[in-house]
Amino acid sequence: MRGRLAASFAGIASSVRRFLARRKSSRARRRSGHRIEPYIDRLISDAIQFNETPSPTPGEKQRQAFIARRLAESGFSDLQDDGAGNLSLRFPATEASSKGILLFASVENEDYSPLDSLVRLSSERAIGRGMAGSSLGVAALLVLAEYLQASGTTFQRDLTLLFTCLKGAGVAGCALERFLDRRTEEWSAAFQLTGTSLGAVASDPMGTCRLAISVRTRDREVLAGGGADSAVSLLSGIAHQLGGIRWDAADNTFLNVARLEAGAGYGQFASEGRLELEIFARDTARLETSRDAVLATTRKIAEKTGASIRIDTAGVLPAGDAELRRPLVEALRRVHARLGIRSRQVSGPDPAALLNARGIPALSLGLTTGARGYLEEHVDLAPLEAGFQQVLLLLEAVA
Amino acid sequence: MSWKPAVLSNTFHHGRYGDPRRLLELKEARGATVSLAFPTLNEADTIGKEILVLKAELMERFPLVDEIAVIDSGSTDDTRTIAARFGARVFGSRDILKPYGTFRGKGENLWKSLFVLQGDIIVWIDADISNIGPKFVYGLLGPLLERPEIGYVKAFYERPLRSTSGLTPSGGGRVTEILVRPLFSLFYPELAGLVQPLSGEYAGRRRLLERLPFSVGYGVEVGHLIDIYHQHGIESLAQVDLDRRVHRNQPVEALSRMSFGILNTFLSRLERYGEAHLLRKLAAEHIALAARKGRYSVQPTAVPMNERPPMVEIPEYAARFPRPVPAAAASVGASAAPTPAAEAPPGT
Repeated sequence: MRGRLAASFAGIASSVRRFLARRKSSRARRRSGHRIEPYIDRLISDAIQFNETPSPTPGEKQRQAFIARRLAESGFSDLQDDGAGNLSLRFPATEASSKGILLFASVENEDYSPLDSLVRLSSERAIGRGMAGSSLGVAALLVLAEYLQASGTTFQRDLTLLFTCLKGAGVAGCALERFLDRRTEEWSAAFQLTGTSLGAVASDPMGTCRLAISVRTRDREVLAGGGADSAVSLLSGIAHQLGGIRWDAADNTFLNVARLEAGAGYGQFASEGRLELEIFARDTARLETSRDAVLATTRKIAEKTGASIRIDTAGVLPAGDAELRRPLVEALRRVHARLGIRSRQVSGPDPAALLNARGIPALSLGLTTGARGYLEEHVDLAPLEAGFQQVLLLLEAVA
Repeated sequence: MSWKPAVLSNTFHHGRYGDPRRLLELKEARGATVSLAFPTLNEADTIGKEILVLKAELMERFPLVDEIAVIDSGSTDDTRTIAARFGARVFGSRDILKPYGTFRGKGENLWKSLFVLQGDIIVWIDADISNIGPKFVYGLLGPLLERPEIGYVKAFYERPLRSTSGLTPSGGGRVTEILVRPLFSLFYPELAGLVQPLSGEYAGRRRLLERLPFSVGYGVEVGHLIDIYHQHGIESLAQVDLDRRVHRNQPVEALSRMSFGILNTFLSRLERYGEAHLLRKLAAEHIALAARKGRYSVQPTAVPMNERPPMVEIPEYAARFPRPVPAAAASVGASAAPTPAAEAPPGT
């Protein structure tokens, strides 16, 4: 009996030590026993319904209406609309704190199609155009709000959930940039939630610049021979010349031909075409230098042929700031290890770098695995629970 | 002409019922229970999404629905596995009321679902809807929860068709416009006020549904409408606009067989209610023609035309859902079986 009592006291003491250790490392208060599993079905359901909501619409009003209705149904009456393309919901801190935490997701889907964005569900996957992009991120924010409310979870820092748009980033200014411009509060950390890439850790993401080159060559008579170049030959010549350039010895900069659209028929004229380029660079200065080089080369080629040319910058994402991101990267790796998620280093562009450029530590988080492609886009269902838990654990670590 | 069908006074838009908390209060005030069932045959592409979305929205977030079930006709794809994976109770149609045998057809699944479902209100949704959303259920439930005199609610919608060229903005309801509406106009002008009498989404009170005979095949919807019209009056019917339903297109050959089944049920009802008299027995097979290398051949197809009696006449059902015996039972069709009927049906 005495032995059993001693063992019991030892067990209790050990539990208390573990509990205190956890409380020390985690500043979040979460009611124990609140299960996550039921929220995963809601997350998939919201992602499906959101994915099937048309986009783009003027001001993304249809998608914003879905978000507002869902949050109102969940009992949130203080959703803020800044009139600049942003809806935000704030969970006040338990204690006065100077800096808040920002979780954001982009609501638009530039690839939306009324037919292809209708989602099909197998036992393992949700299949539909857009599911691997923004839809899961928005759904995760909606369900997170419900979960925090139902579980009574609170944080020492203000937490803001932001539904925003990234279209026009770095050029005309996207909704996210307008949100950051207008708000006066400081942010201690920010995370973008997105569909796939669970486990991907971008500790030092490249910057990117997307260029759209439209050309119109001189009128030509195809059968006459010796006429002007077609838009096809001009644009493929530009793509070939730019693609052959070695930008630097260490491969810190490279160029990708994203799209070439030209040719006669299907509403196109042989004299018109469009080329979309993506430039990637390890730092923002290199990105700007490379962009200037591409513009100059393109103009020079076009001038030789007498074609008229227009070059638009479709979007710019700065390179990430590795130093700013380091604490978040380390926290994310710890969370991955705890949840058994395999971490892998990636270096592609990250919209969260827009916040890095303003001195805010920020990362993007994938919620599951999957694939994005023209023929099929899908997300895997099984990893979603770990993906959602990852968000909760990161919040516990930083908020 | 100023006459308008009475059912147009019972015509609503789903938006009227878009507040789930209000519906939940109505449901609790009425003490009602609600069952949602999908009749299926090879619907693996769409059934998972329908169950997941409706369960998450209407069982977990707002518990308007108490159970979700699939009644399957023997799918050879993954319909049953997927349905179970997303939380539905899955029944094989042939396993329900085994002593009564089994027929192939949607009506058979609906009839048998009455035996396994528990709710006072039954909602049936087709399993081939690509753009499923909670409105498909709360739109149908709303009038039943709000107005006790309504016993049966049908959906209608704009029906863009899925085809190889994308979505065709309209064009659904060909059988309705070419066959059913002219027949209703001739014999039951009041029922011609239904926008889509053949829509596959409808809901009703158990105490009304259990007294209806069920055509096992394509005629089930038309049979219901005519029987309800005769038994309970047009006032017990309502219809709800669900805006838009995307589904796969049916080939003309399938629509021809569907029309055959519907016409058969329609004629049998005319005779039953003494509104027409058939002088000879109707043929049992639909006849199509096939042309190959300049030669034509006949392709007969047996279209299910059997009819199940009102479920209250099945003793096993009576034992499972015992009701006090009323003074005068009102059920369509003669039956020697005792009728353990419930309280007076709606609309009477």
